[in-house]
Amino acid sequence: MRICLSWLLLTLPASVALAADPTPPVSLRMTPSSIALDGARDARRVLVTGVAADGSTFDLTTAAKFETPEGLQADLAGFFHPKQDGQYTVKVTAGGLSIDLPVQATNVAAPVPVSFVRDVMPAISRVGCNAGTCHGSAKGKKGFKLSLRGYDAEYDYAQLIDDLAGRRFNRSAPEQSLMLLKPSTGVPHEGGFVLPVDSPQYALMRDWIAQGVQSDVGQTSRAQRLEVFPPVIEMATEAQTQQMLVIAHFPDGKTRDVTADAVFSSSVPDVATVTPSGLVTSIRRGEASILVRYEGVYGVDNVSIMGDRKGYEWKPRPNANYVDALVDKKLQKRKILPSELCTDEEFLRRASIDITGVPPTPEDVRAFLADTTETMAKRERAIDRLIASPGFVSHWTHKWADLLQANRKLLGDKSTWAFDRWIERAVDTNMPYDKMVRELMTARGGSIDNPAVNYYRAQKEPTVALENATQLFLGIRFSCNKCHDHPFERWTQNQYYSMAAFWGQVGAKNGRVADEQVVWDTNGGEVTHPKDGRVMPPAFPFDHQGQINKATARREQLADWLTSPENPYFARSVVNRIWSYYLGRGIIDPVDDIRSSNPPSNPELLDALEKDFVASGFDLRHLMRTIARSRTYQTSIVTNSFNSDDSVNFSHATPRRLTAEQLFDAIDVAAGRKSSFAGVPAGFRANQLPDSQVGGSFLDLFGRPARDTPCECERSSEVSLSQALNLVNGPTIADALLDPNGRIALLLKSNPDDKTIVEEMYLAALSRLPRPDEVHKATDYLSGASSKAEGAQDLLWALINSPAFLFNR
Amino acid sequence: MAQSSRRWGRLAMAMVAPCLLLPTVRGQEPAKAVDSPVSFEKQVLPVLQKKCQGCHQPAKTQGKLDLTSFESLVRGGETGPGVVAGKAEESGILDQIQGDKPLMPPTGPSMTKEEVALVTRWIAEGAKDDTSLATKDTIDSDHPPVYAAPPLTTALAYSPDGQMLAVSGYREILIHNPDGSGLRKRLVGQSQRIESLVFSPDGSILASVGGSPGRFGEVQFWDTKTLTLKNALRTSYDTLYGGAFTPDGKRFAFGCADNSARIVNVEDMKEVLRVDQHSDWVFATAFSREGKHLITLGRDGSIKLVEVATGSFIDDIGKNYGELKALARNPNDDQVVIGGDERVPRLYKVFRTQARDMNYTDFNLLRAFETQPGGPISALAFANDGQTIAVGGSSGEIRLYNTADGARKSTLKGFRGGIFALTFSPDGKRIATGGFDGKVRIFDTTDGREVAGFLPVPITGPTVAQNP
Repeated sequence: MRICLSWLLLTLPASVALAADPTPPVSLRMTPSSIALDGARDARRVLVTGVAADGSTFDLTTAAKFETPEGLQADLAGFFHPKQDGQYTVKVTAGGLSIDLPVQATNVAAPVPVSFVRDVMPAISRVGCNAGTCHGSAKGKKGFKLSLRGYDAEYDYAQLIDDLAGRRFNRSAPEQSLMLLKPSTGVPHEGGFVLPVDSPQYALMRDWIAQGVQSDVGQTSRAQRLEVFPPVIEMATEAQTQQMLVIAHFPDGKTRDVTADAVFSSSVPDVATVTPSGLVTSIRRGEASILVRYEGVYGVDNVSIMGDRKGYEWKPRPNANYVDALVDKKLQKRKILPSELCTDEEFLRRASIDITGVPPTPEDVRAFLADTTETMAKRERAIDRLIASPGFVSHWTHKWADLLQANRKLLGDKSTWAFDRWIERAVDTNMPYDKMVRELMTARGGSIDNPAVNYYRAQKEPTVALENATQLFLGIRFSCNKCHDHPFERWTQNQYYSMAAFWGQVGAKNGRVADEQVVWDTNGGEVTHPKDGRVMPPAFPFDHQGQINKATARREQLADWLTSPENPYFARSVVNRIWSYYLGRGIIDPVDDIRSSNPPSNPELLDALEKDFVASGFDLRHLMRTIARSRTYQTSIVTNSFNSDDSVNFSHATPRRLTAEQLFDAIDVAAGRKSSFAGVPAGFRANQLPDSQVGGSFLDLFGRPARDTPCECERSSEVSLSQALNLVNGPTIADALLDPNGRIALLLKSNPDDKTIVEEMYLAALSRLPRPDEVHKATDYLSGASSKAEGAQDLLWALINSPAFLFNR
Repeated sequence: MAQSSRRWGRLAMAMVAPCLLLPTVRGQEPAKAVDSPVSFEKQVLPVLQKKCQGCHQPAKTQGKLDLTSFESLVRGGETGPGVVAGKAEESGILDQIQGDKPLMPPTGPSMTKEEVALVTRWIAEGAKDDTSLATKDTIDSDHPPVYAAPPLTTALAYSPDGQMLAVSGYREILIHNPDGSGLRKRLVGQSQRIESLVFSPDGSILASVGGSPGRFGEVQFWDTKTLTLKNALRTSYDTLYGGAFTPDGKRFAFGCADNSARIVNVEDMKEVLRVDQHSDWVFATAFSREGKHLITLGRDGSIKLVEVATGSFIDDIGKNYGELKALARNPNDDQVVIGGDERVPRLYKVFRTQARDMNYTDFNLLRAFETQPGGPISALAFANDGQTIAVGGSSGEIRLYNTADGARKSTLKGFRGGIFALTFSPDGKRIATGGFDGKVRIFDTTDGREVAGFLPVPITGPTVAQNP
């Protein structure tokens, strides 16, 4: 105790000395710059910002001192409470400067009844009663259930007031109400002590009970949106703090400072933490988002922490197109230096795999290296050639078939092939993306005559169709709000069933031939809400400016709405998705989980790509060409000291494990083998297979999707021990190496020298020539081998098992 | 830029730090007052309340330990006594809460050093129990509760001779004239909620079943001639529900929040049977006409039939349609009507006449009535002649049905909020009702007319909160 005191005495003057620092802020700023308090319970705070001579800013809210006049009261948390009507001036002092805060207080004497919707429900959420781990769980806790995070005020009111004959409140003696005694542990509570008797939440609930537990559900609206201050948080160093301020806006024009009631969480607590009262602390260099939620509305504050950037100096690099310009803009902002351009060999292998799914042959590599055209021009030509090649069609047909769930378990043999051909034609003719989706959404007729209807066959009921379509075509997840309002987004349970109603009138029956199904619009059939069985008229979860022809069948209206250039998610989500295929990570990631709490790492870039894509007429090839031509796509995987810790700003390429099909086809290319799969014509590559029911266990082992859902997550890129064992010892590689018509067998017929063999093996497996030291080592090995064939097989086996082969780098 | 921001960021932290430290310094002050002994009630119990009682309470005695009272703390649990006066080393509780990483509580914040010191000192000072000294209840029969707002009406009963109407209040039972014309007597107790009021068949006893939520349950027997308390039993840790007398009036059944149903002797309050067939709270009980079987209804959605003499489980009377809340037996037949969350009143015969099958076919079902509007059913009553059934619930209206054909006879309206209690007058001409709005209303059952409505308690001023 004594030690503690003396320590304090010693440190106090030290901090005073710090306050008298020779470079104090030159001015102070407040957000908001004035406060209006309406009614006795209104309480608001301000943020105090210091502005340095160089214009940089820093938060002084926690350090600020407030001199409040009579009639106002400032609490320990920094909120001003009115005691009496009037115009006041609070003197705010921080960093050696002072500034006046005008505060107006009105209607202080007017009685303000406690509102169930606006006061009690937020108090319950803040205390945490309705959390998913407590009474908000699907079955409640100990016989008491609330709606998850309070999305259903009507239900919660019934639980508190009506259930078990009003056991949970006590109008005759409000303090004796079980809903107060339990959380304040006046009676034992397994959920613990969560509601201090002197807390504002306790007072609100008690007053509400004393006032007769009135319900204003249906009369009083909840908050409409949140406004979060400061709009962005930029901190120079670690261990800095920034207080947040959250204002809720209501449909009646009223606002409320809900900083004390909102719930804060950090997307990356390693980078920035946030306290329950909204104080953000920087932990290390990086970027994070602070998600704020309050009564079903959400706000996000993006935090960036610069950290130590000593020695950083931006070196301009030539921009191939707007992609580079916007990436560079973000890199400069974050003081990141991009990696160098990758080599021609790296580029050709990367682009070939990304665009056609298959690595280049040794001949392709030799021709490309021999071309002396200027690098970027040469690469552009290669990109155009690859996009125009049949390999492009196979690769992207396969990709779309994954997402559209071409799967013979659902469609049968014939229809699966028909659907695969339909997708192939769409890719081959470069069908505009909006048109393709429209054809899928509105398809009617027989599944063999019009194979697009096969899309519907994977969507057995309206709710499944809704969840899949929103995830695939809009990149948003509607599955949460099937059972309750989405816990992190504005989507509601009502929206779920209203939107599902657009699929409520799709009929399906068997056709005349085997495997055929006929799909049509029945113009009858409704979707009902599971809670009360009411019919849900079709309605979109949000409106936009696009044209919708209301006179047509429901699916037609849906297609109008979905594929409109005005739909803020449609083009954006596919652009982001395609970007992720080329760069290994979406600008929003995961790509099919777009929500305000999952913001884009480079919004300007995403906006520009979206705009360009829409302007091009939803031209996917144009989009891919634009991405592939950028230097951003063509950077090396080798990092520098200013980008090694960057994983979200595309400052360097990231090695990606080859997908199952890519790996299989790359082994074939390397070994010069032509695989033949059972059930498909000879010469089909893995990425030409019509579905996942053919092709064998190797492809399944390396994670090709079963096509049961349209989720990107179905494709696994994990690395496992059984994969490693298969690569080392499995029949796929062994058979390929020993193929009597394979690369090694053919090569040996010409009786080549060891160096030629080594060069050929490197070109075949890694799409590059060996370095001199590699030639030396490899020829050494070959000369000691029992036969040339065995030596060559061993060498190719080793190369195939190297990361340079297994990864797209 | 980075320079100045960094420095000022640190400044902000530096200026916060002293503020953070101040409470610690202040928090030390009470320790100086070593002279006054630690109070169990005021200082130790609140700590146990916040950090221990979630798991160590009568409703969940983890480690067979209950830390809600002085007695149970001293008694301790599986590992021995919790507290031995004056002997810190023998007091089990200290082993659990001390140290850098105390064993208890397993989750959530540990006790602070000050709190541990407080408990230790209390034990050293002889672990004195000052509980009774600190609790002073200001409500008793001479000082009945004062109401600012009417209490919920959760229970109602007409005496068999039709001469009085018993109404639930907050910590009291109110005896009114049967037509609502006047309050005769207030029977004050400690139970905050009266969940069920039942007169014995001969009318000599009024049984009151209830308690205080989360704390205790209580059954009281009142002598109806003198309107004095004849006998009382406190049991369980939460309110009790659904009382029923045997036809001879010698035994009494009720349901508990510990998932049991009990039967006690009226004369000496001795428990003669405990039924543990339910997996959730038991809300209602009834005896068969001959009194040889007990019928219990649970929140688990089941209706159990048990033989009283042996305690043997006989049957599940009905199929499970979700949480059940209310039950009433036909006074003239072995039939029960039940209702709950599903909102469909169902009439069952008590004794099975057709063997069970694999599909859980509802063979005992005599009739499913129409689905009630709004929310769950919470109150049911049979008229004495067995020919009329009354159904009330969250919808805020009461529907009367013909037992024989299920036809609705009338709909009683005008309530604000849910219906929690219903009782027919012995002649069947009146039905008294109550619920959320706190007003008792009496209707004519022949034409559905409201003939009387009154607040059962005097509204005179702000209520004084008590903590029995």
